[in-house]
Amino acid sequence: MTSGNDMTKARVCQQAFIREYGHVAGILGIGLGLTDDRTEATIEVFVDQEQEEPDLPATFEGLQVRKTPTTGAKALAIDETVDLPEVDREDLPTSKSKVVRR
Amino acid sequence: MDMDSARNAQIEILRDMFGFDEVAGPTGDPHFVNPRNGTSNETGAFSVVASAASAGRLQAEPEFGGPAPVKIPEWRPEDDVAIGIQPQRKGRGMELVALYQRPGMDEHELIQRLRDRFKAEISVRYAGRTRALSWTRERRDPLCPGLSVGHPDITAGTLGGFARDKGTGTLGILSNNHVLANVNEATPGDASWQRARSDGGSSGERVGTLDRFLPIDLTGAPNELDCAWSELDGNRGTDLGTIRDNNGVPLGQIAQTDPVTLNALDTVQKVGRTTGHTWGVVTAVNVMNLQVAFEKGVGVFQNVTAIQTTGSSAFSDGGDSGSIILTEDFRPGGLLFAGSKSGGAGNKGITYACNLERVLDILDLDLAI
Repeated sequence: MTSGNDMTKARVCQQAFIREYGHVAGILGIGLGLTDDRTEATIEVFVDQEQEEPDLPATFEGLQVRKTPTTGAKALAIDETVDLPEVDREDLPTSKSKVVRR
Repeated sequence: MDMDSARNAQIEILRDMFGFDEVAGPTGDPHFVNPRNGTSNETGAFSVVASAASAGRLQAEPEFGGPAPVKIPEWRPEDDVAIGIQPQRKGRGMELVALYQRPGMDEHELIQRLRDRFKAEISVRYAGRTRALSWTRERRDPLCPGLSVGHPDITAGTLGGFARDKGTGTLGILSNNHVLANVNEATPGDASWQRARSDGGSSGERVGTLDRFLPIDLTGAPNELDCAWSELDGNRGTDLGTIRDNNGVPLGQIAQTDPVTLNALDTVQKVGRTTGHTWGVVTAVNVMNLQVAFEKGVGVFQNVTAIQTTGSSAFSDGGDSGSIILTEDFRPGGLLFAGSKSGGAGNKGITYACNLERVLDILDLDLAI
């Protein structure tokens, strides 16, 4: 089993991976997983199965990079499909002050 | 064919051709039960439809990581054919109707035998799979996790669970912003319905008042949570922590009020309005830059947990939003809010959940069980 320390290192590695590959077309999300024997962290990349599979390295800074083809995520109330526009990705924190209250 | 002849023909098919057991119904009428489905306690002729179409295999689909799987008997064609009686399409008498529920059965030898035997007096049609209306979509009292709920202007989502205001102890319903607050469009004070509009809900089914929600940013700035809380009102009771299976039978209780951190490869479960109780596995944590399509735009989410099914059906589908994600031992960890239609295990899609601990913290709530 990976330790908390390993996962902290993995998060740093994930951030580096996002900086290097986060802009690549066809990537829907980038997370952290574990190898099946639970001994090593992995970088889990969700890739758009309707686009050409992005060219990604098999490993990144020692972590295995695994691709999972899928479709775009939708909020799961019953609603209508919308096209996914391009968006900017700036890092702004979630804040309690933003909560709308009665 | 008159009605008596049609009834006799129906009996001939069910008893002699299908090999169903004849038992006395509650009113003394003959009643036929597929012996592979066990003893039926349904009443009337439609019990055959129900037993063949839903009670057998639909409940028997195994989901690994959950309770011991139910053994699935080998498929037989008569399991998927319902026999009814209807007015003749041409003429004033009655005729038989065979409704088959598995695609491609039109050419099956059993269907051919029915046609040969009854010729113009039987109509054969594909009816598709019949599924009993889920308990989660009904109006329920007491309220419990997994039920259909929503703002009056949305279709349907899931009542994930209950939570109390940290300061006042007031009890309310926990779900997503896009379920209770219509993706920021709602105003605190708006109603929450159980059941939701898509399930027949109306103003008479108000169970809560929207009290607070975290807005979802649709401009490209990152989000972490999709959450809202409605204060309970109305006079329905609550069954706070009970998790129920697809028949509405209690499976267990939410084990604690403090959420846990979900880790990769954790076995998880949820009960939701659409797909009911399902099992899955966490395949990724801390998922970043996930674009989620809402009806009104796209939100980019960070720090999300990805889950894939471990069963034979999808872990979630539209209408399951708001479900609380629980570990195998019923400890709460996430709040389901999004998913994809395909990809992942068995191409059944990937489900995404936000961090429940962060949800409770940001909304100043304690989980109630």
